[in-house]
Amino acid sequence: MATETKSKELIRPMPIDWWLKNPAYVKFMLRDVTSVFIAGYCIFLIVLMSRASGDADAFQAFYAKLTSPWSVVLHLIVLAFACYHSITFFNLTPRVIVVFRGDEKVPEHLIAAGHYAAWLLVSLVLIVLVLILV
Amino acid sequence: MARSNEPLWWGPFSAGMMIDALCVPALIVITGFVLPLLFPHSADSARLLINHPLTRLFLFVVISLSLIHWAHRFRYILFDLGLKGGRTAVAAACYGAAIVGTVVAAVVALGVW
Repeated sequence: MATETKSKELIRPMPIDWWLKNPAYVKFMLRDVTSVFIAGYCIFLIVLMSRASGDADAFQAFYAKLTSPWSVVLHLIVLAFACYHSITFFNLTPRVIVVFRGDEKVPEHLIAAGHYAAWLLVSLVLIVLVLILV
Repeated sequence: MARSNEPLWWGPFSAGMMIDALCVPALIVITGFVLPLLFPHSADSARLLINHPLTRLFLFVVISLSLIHWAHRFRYILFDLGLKGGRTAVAAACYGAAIVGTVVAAVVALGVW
């Protein structure tokens, strides 16, 4: 349906589900939406810190809730979106970062591999730190 | 050409993209599975770890950058879904929410609240 305008400006009709028409657009939308899930997780982190600031008994009750199926399922969902963000971002890095060693361009797959290695290292360090400190 | 505030948001946006990609999956594994499932009876030591100043600094950095990253993306999700007009208001609402979240995160991280 054409929108009536006084100027001759062309308004391209854009249905709200345009991004469902092509798998590449769905991936693009999915990638953008990961940030919503990560932001939701950040709110959880704020609540976690706030509860930890309170008294120990109340925190114990809150901590016990983390073992509930709800918590586990929500964490699994957010984890899936977070990993999707990491994977699509690391696959993209060779397009953004071009590294030269001497006159040779460092191959794309090495740049992506470097980021995956960093991801693995950071994840291991964080998890091992928790295993040691708790 | 109209001046744009894009460059201002791009720094924290891309920093958020990187820190989310590197750190957030591990954080989710820790709070979702490692702590509650491997250490269900260690609430006290988990609390001490969360209350450590370095943990709080780290969490604050992750939270603030993630929220700005969210704001920037969410703003464009709305336009991509066909929102017309109100561009300034949407941008102000998104970045404003991220800034409020960052301030709340700072206050909570400092243990004031």
